[in-house]
Amino acid sequence: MGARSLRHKPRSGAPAAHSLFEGVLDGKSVPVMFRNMTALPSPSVLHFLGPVSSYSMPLHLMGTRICAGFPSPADDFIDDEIDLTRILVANRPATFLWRVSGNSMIETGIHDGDVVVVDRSMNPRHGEVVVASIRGEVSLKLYQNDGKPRLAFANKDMPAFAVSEEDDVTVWGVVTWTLHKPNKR
Amino acid sequence: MSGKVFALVDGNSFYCSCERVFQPELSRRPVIVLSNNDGCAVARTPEAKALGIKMGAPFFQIRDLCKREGVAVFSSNYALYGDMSRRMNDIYHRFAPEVEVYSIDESFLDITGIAADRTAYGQEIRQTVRQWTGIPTCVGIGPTKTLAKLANRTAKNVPALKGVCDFTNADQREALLPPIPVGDLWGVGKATAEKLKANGIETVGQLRAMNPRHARQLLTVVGERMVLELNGVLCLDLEAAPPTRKGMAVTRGFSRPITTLDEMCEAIAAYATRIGEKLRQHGLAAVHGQVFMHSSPFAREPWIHRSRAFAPIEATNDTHELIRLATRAGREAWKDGYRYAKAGIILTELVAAADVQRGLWGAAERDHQQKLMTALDAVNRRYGRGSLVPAAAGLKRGWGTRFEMRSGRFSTSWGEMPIVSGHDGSDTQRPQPARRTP
Repeated sequence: MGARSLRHKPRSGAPAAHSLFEGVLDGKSVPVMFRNMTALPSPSVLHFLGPVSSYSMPLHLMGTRICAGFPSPADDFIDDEIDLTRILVANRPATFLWRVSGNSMIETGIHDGDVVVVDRSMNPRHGEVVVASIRGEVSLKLYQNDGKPRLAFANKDMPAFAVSEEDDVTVWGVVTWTLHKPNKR
Repeated sequence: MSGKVFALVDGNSFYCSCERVFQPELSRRPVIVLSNNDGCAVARTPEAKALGIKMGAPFFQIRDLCKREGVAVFSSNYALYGDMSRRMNDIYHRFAPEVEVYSIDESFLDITGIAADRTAYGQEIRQTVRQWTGIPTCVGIGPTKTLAKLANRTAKNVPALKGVCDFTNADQREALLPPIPVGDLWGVGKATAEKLKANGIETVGQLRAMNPRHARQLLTVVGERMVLELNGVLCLDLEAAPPTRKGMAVTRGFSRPITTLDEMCEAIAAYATRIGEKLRQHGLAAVHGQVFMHSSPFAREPWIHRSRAFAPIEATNDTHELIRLATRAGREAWKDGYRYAKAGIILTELVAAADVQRGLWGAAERDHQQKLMTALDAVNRRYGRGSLVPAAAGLKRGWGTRFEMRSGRFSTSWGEMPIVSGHDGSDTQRPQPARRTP
């Protein structure tokens, strides 16, 4: 927490449009703003880049040692590192991890003991695996929507639940990734 | 009016709401969260308030009621609340260029010039926070922080507002603001409210109409500012950067009374260890501090309160030096024959570690110590707080703070992640149910 904002003063002659976005610098978000307009149609018009994790674990794809002799021909082609956190966590404040107990979702590749990455900011689409909250119990379900949203078991013999705030049947979040260890070690 | 627009967003029954996010079965049950050592109720859902559980009610007085009424009771889980708070502030930064984190569950957003329809903008903030984090919030909007705070309180108390109240809107302001009792105003304590009442001022509307100069005579410059802010004159701007800390403290109640000096020194060493970590984290060093200890104000026992100051020769944030100084002060303050319930270390003067005046001698040792502290902090960051501690801080810690009903650190600990059921009735194993009322 705390202040991580770095204000950029509006340039004179900045566009007469109100844009507010976050750039990314050293893992810190830097809100940048032009205040030339007083009203804004809707914040959803704005495009934001989320702040990037500061506890990421970069993987070095490649890299060359500094050599005293002829410079490496690869130097101009070295890419950035792969930042797994950035890939797995698209929207940090809305992303949570849950551990799976049970094999009911095995057909979708989710096994007992796996960890699922869950994004609460996404609206579920037909056929997606979601974390559902059904009368207080949290379980993995398939989201189905052919006009009436339902939460179904992967096992087609089991009856589905109609999504309803009043009956306490809701989508907790959309599963975006499964973390599965194929080897025991 | 000030020309500025502030929004105060805060989480409803914040600690309880955090518990509910990962345990939806609690959503229709009353929930309370207890203070350190499970002492008293510090957060309550509306259902718990309706049962008559008061803010600060000692747990031993309401334990039976909680059992009878099925109240879910939790120890404070600051790892969870802190993480949820961080997520909410991340979201606020997408709605406002500047955010002041006012407390763990309240932030001021500068939304000047951002939205024409502020109520709709407030609703969008609420809905986003609710969907992304699961935490319900209220939003108060005003041309000053004082008015935003009052609007927030109004949003909470008037259900028809649906969680957003806008005091930049003159109709809404004039309908709802004047009758609010002055005691509900930000910064007005019991004594101030009494003073105002004696002068015939009982409502915010009356206070607002007061001459600022009279307010100054009555309540110093604070009162004058209050009147001006109520009239839309900006006195307190957003503090987006947290002010430099002037003091720091680690104080904790014990889970059972301490009666021996050895145990007291252990506790003080543990607090010194923690305060050293905090100092280094903020790049600060201690110039002056004090150690205190006292018996329980609740128990029918002889009351004792002792304290002793300490000061290093040069400002320090070295854990070993702090332990040496603080335990020596603790030994001096100690008096035999009492049952101590709480102790703490308060640092009253701090400087930036980089500005510390260095003595001529001992430079080599200081560098060694600094490297040791850096290594200590690195180990504890990597393997979790308390992985590596000075032995003086004790290993058993029978007096340590009690968190017997703490829920999992769901969002920050790989080992305490919540469990989602992947069972469909065809298999017999069920997941462990979450912990309920003890």
